[in-house]
Amino acid sequence: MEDVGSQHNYSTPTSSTIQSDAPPNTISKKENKLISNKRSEYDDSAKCSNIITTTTTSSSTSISIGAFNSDAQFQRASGHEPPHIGYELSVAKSVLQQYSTLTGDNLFDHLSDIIKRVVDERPPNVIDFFEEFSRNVREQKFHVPERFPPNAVFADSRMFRPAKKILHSIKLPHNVEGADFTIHEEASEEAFTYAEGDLRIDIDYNMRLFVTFNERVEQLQFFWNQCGFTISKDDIFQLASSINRLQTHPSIMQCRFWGCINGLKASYYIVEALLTREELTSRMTMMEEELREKQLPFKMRKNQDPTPLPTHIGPELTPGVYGWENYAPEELEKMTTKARPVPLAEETEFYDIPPEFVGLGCNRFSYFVVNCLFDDWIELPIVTPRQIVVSRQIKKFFTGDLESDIVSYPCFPGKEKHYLRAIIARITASTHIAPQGYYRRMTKKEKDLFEGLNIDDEEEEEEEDFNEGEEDAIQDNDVMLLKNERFELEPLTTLATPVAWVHCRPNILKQGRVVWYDEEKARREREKTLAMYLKMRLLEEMDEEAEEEEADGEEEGEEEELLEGLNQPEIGPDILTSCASDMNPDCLIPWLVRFTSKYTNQKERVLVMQSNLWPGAFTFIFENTCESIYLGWGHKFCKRNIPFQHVPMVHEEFPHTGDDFIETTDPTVEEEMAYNEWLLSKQKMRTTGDSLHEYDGEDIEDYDDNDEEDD
Amino acid sequence: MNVEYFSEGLECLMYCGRKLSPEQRILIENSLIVLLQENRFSGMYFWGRITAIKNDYYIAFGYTNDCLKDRKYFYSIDQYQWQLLPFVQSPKIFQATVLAPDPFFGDPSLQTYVKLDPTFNIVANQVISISSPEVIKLKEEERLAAIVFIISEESAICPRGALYKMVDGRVIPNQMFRGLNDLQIENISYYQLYRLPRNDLKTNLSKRSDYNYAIDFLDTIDGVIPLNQAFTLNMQRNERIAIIKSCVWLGMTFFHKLNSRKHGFVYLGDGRKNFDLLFMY
Repeated sequence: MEDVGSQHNYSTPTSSTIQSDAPPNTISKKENKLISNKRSEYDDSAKCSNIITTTTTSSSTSISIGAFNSDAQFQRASGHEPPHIGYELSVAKSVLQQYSTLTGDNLFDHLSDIIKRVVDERPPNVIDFFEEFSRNVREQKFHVPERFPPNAVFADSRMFRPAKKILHSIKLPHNVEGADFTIHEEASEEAFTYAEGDLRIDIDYNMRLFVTFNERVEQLQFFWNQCGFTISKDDIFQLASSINRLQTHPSIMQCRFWGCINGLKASYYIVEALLTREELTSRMTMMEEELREKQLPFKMRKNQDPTPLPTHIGPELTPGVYGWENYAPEELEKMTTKARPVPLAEETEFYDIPPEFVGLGCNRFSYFVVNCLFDDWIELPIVTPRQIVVSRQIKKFFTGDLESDIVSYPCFPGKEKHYLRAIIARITASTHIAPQGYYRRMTKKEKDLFEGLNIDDEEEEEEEDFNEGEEDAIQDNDVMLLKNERFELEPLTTLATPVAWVHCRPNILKQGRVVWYDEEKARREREKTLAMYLKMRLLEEMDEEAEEEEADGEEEGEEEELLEGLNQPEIGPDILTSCASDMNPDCLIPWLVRFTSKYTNQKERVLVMQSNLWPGAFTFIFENTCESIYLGWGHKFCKRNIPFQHVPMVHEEFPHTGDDFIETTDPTVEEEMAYNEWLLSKQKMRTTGDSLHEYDGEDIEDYDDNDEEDD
Repeated sequence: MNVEYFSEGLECLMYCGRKLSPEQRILIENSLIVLLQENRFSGMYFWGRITAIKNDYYIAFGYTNDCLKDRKYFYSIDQYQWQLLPFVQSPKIFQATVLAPDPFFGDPSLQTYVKLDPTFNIVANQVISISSPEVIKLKEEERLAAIVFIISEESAICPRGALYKMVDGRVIPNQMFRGLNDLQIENISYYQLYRLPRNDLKTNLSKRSDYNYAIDFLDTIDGVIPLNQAFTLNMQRNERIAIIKSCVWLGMTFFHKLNSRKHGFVYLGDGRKNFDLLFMY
């Protein structure tokens, strides 16, 4: 009773404590009586109806008791019986059984429900949570076990949809027959399909040599688990099977799990893949064409479509002269403006540094991402130097949607997928490390084999060689490393310093490329081609012979040589440089060294290198397994906050002088009509006539200015 | 995260990408149980790890009477010997902790000097004077205590109904808590901050129509500024686990299992606040 009381008036918790201190039941009973008397006056009619109605609660006895109680009360009303315990009890019960006028419940049923549940379920410390418990019981009044299989609508379980998707993605035999190839089978199969000449098979076999990726995710998962960073166990199996799906794709040579980048709504699982040579060459040709088009000077590109005529031609009148209508049209046309011409926006030529070709530099590997492991892999686009440069200046959360916009300053050229790709390139470049001697450079022969040069025309090969000879020092960085077969693991304690580790991916220059691109040279070349082009057009027009042209070309060539000495290529750290020489002014200690086990398992412990620069990048080594992985938000370390670039100052307006605006009287209707007619006639003349004046644009603006002033 | 379901909780929290290695897990779990026994705590929680250069700090807390007011924090470097974290009161220390540019070193007795931001004296929109930035001497142990306090104040979470306010004002874990159901689990207003409420009781109660005095006294995370940006909620593992990550303190992860009383949070990070948050959306 007391608890019920405290439940009803929760706001006065002291009352319950007082009651519990008082001697049992006497006071409360009296109170109850009083209440019952009062209530019986109010609810007489309600009570009578209650006797007849049946209850829905689990306590089945309440009906008869109710009937009995009502009898007792009537008897009391007649006032013959002396008070005794049975009578008091029945009165108390009847009080408890008064039905709420709001909900139709009664306390007696509720209490008996509570007692039943406490006895059945035996929850701990019910007394402390009695209010909560009682609330629960009332909430679940209609969820009693008797009603168990709910005969209402069956709602889909939350787990149903993902479960079905997963099942679908596994491609069980009744859906698609055996899609479960291993990479070896795939390779041999591929070889057979191409098996016209023996050469081909040799190459494909040889390509196996260059597989440096560890594809076995579940094996790696064991080590990750040991090291204390991993994705969850359920996911890893799905990851393994979905990577397997990717590997069986004919255009992919090898792939590995790169890591995971958290997003706000979903995270990205990322796989790094090396495409097959056929795929690369086919993409390369497409890309080359596109790039060539982009690097052409604007004028050469644009000249095909002539600039459209302005739709409205303004007056050629000088502002500041009254009474223009008095002049003859011929004279008007000869007049020039007194005021300064309004500056127009100049068309500047802007050329991006071209991205590296597919299969080279930053774009050596392709990356595939997926939000849910049971979805299909989506390939990320190639990365351009500009994207890398801008991504260094901004810091964004990934949303989990590849197509969402990046709202930032400076404006990021691309969508989230481009940003993701740029971040991946940067993380890969700075955090993929291996112990010294774990990887080696390719020998010349292997390189040729890898690039597939020996089967191609010999001329091409020579050309390549010639090029390499020119810029050997720069090209050197952009190589693919091979695993060193003769690598012997030193004891882990000697490896526990960054000195013993080297970077195994090429560094990305400030320019945003691995191989430095000479912008100055490109600019000069562009100028040259433009000059040539213009000259050609001139010559075509004038029908002259092309003797002078050659002479000019030679001169320019000399200039070029002179300038070239001044233009220093940007140099970054080499591939395979020690991690100890990592420099960053913000982050003084770029690498943390940890052992997975200090005290217990000395023999089988794993060495972990954590990057401080990119929190979430880990590399572990155990015996002959060395792998890097990234699990994080994709944010670089910054000391306090990232120095965001400020928006530039608002440009000053064009300074107007008194000459620019003058006050005139409004023209009359007739004048306006006349003027319009004159304009029209002039426009007609223009469209039929030939060339455009240079001043057109300015005149329009002048006119507009005048208009505003008039208003 | 409660030590009662330590490994299970860690499994669920793996969605942040990090967890503990087997040795760390075994050492921490068992030493915390010992710690619980020695201190006669009624609840023992693993709080997380703060990465430092030399050694990482592992943090745990326990309580006897009230799980919000008398929490006692412990830290450990070797994962089995736990020391009590000092109680920091000076606001200057908190200020310096938030601003400290260097990472933690891993030596509790280390003293560093942190330059606070200069204060500007502004009258009528004009800067009148700039005081030179104050330099604060900061002991790493105090810094650790302060950062742990700040992080748990700002980003520790529990689901609605997991904490229960008794009639005498004490707050204890709700034994009757059965977890959030299907409809509630994806709603961010059903998660509360695991700290003493800072909002007025009336404001917290008036946020929902079905309020309950014993449960809704805590601040909910949908009111944390910046609104809708401070936390992200994801459903994982066939949508059975809600994972909430803090965007202010990257590394703070919270999990709650659907229809189960299991929930918990762990911070695994380097103790740096994400000051760029507002520019990152």
